[in-house]
Amino acid sequence: MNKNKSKKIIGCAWLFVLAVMMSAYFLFPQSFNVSNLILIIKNNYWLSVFIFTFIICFRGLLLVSPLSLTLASSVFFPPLTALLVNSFGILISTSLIYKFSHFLGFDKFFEKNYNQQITKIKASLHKKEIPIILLWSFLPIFPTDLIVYVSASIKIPLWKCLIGVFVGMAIINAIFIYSLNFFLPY
Amino acid sequence: MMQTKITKKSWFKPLVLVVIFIGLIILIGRIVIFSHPRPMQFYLEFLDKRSERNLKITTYSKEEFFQKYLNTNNDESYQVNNFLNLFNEKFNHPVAKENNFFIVYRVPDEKDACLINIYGINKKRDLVYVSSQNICLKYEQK
Repeated sequence: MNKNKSKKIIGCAWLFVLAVMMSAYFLFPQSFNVSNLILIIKNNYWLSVFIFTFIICFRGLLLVSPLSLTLASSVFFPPLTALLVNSFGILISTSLIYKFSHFLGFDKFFEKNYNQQITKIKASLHKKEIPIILLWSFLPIFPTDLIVYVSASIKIPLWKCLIGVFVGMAIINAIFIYSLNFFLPY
Repeated sequence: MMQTKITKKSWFKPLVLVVIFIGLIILIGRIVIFSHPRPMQFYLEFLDKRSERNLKITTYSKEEFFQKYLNTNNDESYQVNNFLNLFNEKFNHPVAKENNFFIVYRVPDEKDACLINIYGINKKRDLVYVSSQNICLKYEQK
């Protein structure tokens, strides 16, 4: 199967999932209420954890912000579960972006939208890969997927990228999950 | 051998600096956020917005809180112990969460059975926040 055909199939599958989700949202708006979702998740806890882990793992392919998903998950799951699921998901999604960023065309997207930042990151990453990746992942104002893409493009080993992103994101996720759970308990 | 040592050193020092930097950001962030109603409001709204909960959050100084919720204007009551005593007299509800800095109460609203009010009181600083959340299912309200 050639590359273009694979891309078309993935694109169609993505559009289909999107159409189903949008239809469900507009047809049954009451089901998407936070209280309802909490009730559904309580009744199907392990299935919900599995589905959420799946979403977290593959969110990188849609470039959805990991922070929003982390904070949303901390509303529905206990803090430790939310942290573990998110940390595991970060490892998988980082690996996917690292391996498939060129195939999915992220290179064009990032080069077009973050050209200046990419030049700066490439210059500063030299010989300080882990600290820079860790710091970048920790700061919520910078898109984490961008540093993963740049790491892949300049052939930084995957393990260094994973360590940096995992530690940086774990620290910031722990802070936000704890804060949300403590200050605004549901 | 020599080259390996140099390479290890070259990333070890920046790593230590980054860890110290992150520690400092957390420390300074904590001091700034928990010291005044405005940064606290910003932080809580950030958490709320990113978690898509759409809560109503308001932060107050203890003086403002007293005037609005407890209808008193006594300067001495702003002291921590007095504040908590007066708060407990008014709401009489067990503590939901507590750490070194904050006491958080979850109090059902007197007028609306679907609403839970969260009151967070800073033990050391002049800071209180109030947040309301709807706990009823939407279709139950109709």
